[in-house]
Amino acid sequence: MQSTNDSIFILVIIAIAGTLLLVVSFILINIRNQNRLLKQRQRLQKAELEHQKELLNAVIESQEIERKRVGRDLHDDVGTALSSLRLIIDMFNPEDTATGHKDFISSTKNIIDKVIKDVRNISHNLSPTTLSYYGLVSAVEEHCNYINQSGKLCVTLVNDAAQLVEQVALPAATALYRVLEELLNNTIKHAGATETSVIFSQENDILLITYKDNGKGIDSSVLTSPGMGLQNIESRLSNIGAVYTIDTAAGKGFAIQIKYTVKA
Amino acid sequence: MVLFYIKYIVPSSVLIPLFIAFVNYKWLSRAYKVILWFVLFSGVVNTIHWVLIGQGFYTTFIFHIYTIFEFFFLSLFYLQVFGKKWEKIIIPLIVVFALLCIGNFLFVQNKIEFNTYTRPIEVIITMVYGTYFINRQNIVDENISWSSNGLNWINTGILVYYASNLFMFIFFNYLVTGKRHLFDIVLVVHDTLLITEYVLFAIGFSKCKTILTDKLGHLMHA
Repeated sequence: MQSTNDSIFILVIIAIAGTLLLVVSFILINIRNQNRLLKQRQRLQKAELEHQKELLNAVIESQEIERKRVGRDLHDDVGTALSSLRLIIDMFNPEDTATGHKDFISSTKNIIDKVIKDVRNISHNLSPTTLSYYGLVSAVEEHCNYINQSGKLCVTLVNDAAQLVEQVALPAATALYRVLEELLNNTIKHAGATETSVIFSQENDILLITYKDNGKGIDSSVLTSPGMGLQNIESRLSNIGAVYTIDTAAGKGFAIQIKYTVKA
Repeated sequence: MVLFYIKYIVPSSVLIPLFIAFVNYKWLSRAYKVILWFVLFSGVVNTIHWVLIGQGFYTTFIFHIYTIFEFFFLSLFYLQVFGKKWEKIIIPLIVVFALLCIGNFLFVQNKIEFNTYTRPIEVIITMVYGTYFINRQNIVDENISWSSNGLNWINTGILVYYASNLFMFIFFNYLVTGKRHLFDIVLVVHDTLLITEYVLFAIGFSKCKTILTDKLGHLMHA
């Protein structure tokens, strides 16, 4: 074998430098690829979220349209038919004046009045016309009055953001109305509360809705796996881009603050 | 100057990852703890090595013993990362490699020679571990960037140090017999790579709090 004057030191240093360069390049290329993959994945997740939001929006919109249609049909068709029936019974005047007959007419009229009232309430709940004609606060006020009259709960409504509330678009107003309706229903059904307050206030262009009751509250463990009601609230609010914070504990009442940025 | 760098600065640089690791100790998962004990072990062995040199002893036997433990710690680290199904491969590998090192020390390179047969084998296996780790990180769906995962920094430290020094480990017995000032240059290069490894370990330890999740949002054990 031919001898060589190569220095082993120089060869080793060159080998070290070459390997280091290879390793560093390999790692840098890998970092670049991994970060590119991460960005791609994040873009996909964002697109998926957007798609889900759009789907949810479509579901809520079609639900509202269907509710409006059923409500209008109930009001226009069933309500009118019942009023006509009541009129016919009113006009029915038999010669036989037996008390049995009179009692029958009176009780039939009472039942029809009750059904007319129920149909009106159902129709109103399905599609609150006040909301589209007079706005969010009037619709909530009407609902609160109805609850106050029923004697199930004492609801106090305060509006310190009159101008800003008027600027809320109808889809967002409908969502906020449904959320408040759900909250009031929850309070009546589950909280065992005697008093509730709904306060509309504002911070620049942010509408703040503070809802509080003096009921038995919710344990934090229940909040981590919410039921249908809370899920509905969450999806409706996220759909309009509103955020919320819940403050509750067992035995300490329930409070929620909703923040919605009103688009000019 | 060179001696001061090799004898004092480099051995004391082990304190950088140790300090960061102990500050974050409660957050360290088992994989990080293996590296912490490895760094601590290396620091202690290095100190013993310099003390023995100061006393005029031959220290080559330390390298033979150290290599067994070094491979044990590195394998254990990758075993923690890869998961239990790798036990069947890595544990026999540790045992076989330890026997190989003992055999080499007793019958082959048994005088004042460095273990230039076993150490390169250790480095090559470690490079395979490190490369598989990188490949695995590409497959495992993580929702964090490369730099947020402390284990990536530690793996980079291991790869940079061991892969770069492969040729030095192979030719070590030739280098020792060469000119002193040239050998010192090689040692300076080696020690600078060692400091780089420790700094990368320290960065890894500082990132140990990052929670890893897979695409379903499940927590992953590191």
